[in-house]
Amino acid sequence: MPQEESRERFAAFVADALEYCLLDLSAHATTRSQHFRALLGARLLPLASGSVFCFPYDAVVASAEEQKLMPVLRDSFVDAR
Amino acid sequence: MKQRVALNTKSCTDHQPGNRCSERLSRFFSSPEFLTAVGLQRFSPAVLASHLPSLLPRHWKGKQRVPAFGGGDAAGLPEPDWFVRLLRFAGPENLHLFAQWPVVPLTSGELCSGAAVPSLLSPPEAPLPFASRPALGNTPPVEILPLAEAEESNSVREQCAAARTNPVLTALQRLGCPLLHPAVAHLAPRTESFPAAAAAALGRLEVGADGLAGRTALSPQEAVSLFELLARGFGERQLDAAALPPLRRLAIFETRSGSFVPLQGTERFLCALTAAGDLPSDQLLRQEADGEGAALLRALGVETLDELALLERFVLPRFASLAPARRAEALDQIASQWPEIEQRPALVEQLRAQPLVDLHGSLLRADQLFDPDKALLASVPDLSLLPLALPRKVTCCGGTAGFQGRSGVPHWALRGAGVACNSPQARLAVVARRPDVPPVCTPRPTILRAGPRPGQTLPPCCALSLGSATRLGGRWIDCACRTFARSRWRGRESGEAKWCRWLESL
Repeated sequence: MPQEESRERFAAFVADALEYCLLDLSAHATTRSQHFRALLGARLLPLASGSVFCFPYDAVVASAEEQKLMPVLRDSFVDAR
Repeated sequence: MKQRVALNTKSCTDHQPGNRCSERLSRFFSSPEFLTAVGLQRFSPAVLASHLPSLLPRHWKGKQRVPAFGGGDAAGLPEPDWFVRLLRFAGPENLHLFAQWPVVPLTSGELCSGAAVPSLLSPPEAPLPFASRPALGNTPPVEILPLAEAEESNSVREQCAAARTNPVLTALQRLGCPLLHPAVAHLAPRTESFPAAAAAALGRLEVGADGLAGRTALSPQEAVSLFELLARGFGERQLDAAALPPLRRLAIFETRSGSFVPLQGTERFLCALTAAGDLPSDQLLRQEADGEGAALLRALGVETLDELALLERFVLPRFASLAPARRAEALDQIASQWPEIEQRPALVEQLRAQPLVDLHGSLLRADQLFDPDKALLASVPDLSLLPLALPRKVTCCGGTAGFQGRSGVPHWALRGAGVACNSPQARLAVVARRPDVPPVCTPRPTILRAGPRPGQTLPPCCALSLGSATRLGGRWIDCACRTFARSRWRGRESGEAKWCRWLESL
């Protein structure tokens, strides 16, 4: 399905972008908490539901197995992939 | 640009198939510092517990136990294996987070709250021994909650099989003991003594109006196996005193009739298995008088009856209805165990009042007996004549008291207990010399002969009259009563001469 495929590509892009940002921030920030705060406002948080939200967001980080325990939290789980 | 290239090469090393997230990125998401800084939280048992209201019926909150898959309405609930996954994720150290929510599966399919786990019975790690009795009866098999996912593990599968087939475990489940499902057995603290845990669980069972007896139908094998488990625990000092009284409610005590009964309600007894077979078998328990089983029964308040106690409690009260052979057996027992009987005043009193000797189809008390060996007495055609022929005044030698009539009535002194002829109708009154023997009126004169000779074998009907009847209040003629006054004879001269000769012949 083209729509699904493009969503997957977008999610992969977001993951790459987030990793890039984190590595970059880690390399240049003086303190660790300072460089993480620079992400606030960036729309780089992929959720299990397929949406991408801005930091900060009240989401839960869980493995795929853990997410099966609480399927009702699908909209709150960070994409486990 | 260098960094971007490096990122691309690393991002393809997914640690799991299908994952987009690189190991490096996943490390960021594992860092508490990162999560806090960007407002994320790690999934944890606490997070899980806080979201239970969205998964389980809200009215379950605060319930210790809900039927759930054990006969309740399970529609809309997560599948049974979900609860196992939840508890494995949480671990026993976080059980307190589920204290208010019934999420712990029992073998019955019910769910218990985390707070109730300490009161649950955990399946034993080692196989439990059980009685080799055949599993008789129409007892249906015990079904436990199937957990396909959890039972893929060998140890869980074996424990589930035990919960379905081991007679001890099936008995406990039938009785209503909440048995933790083997798939979540890791939640309960290690059980040091399974018998003690079982006794405690049995003690916590709620009792209905009819006790526990009406609730369950254990097979004989289950009942015996459970009893043996508890007896073994008691023998090894694993059961404390507080755990014992509730066990009396259980219908696991086998009687000599083969039924299984509780100890409450009806008095039950222990006795030697070799005791006579016509005893009331519903009250006597089938158990060796020594050993762990008997020790437990005694601790539960069951009285052990020896042969004389059985005689006192069961044989004498229905002596009249016993078969002649059994009566004879009982009389033999009385004669042969007289020294022991003498040490039991209550039994002596019972024997004293008990019609025991069969004379021409009638059972007579000891104090109603005639001496069968005295030809002279046997020849007396009408014993009502006896008092008329007796001297009014009797002087006894050998230390025996003599009695003087108050109103011209003749007296007759006997050893041990005086006998006075106090009416022309030959009603004799016993005048006890011993203060503990009350005066007794008897309808017929009673004359017993002197005590038995050593080594003498006697027929049953004589046994009492000779050996023990005297001690029971039976009277026998004092051989020392030879001298008496002859001043006021009544009756004809020939009668006087006859009785004089007879008395002198004594």
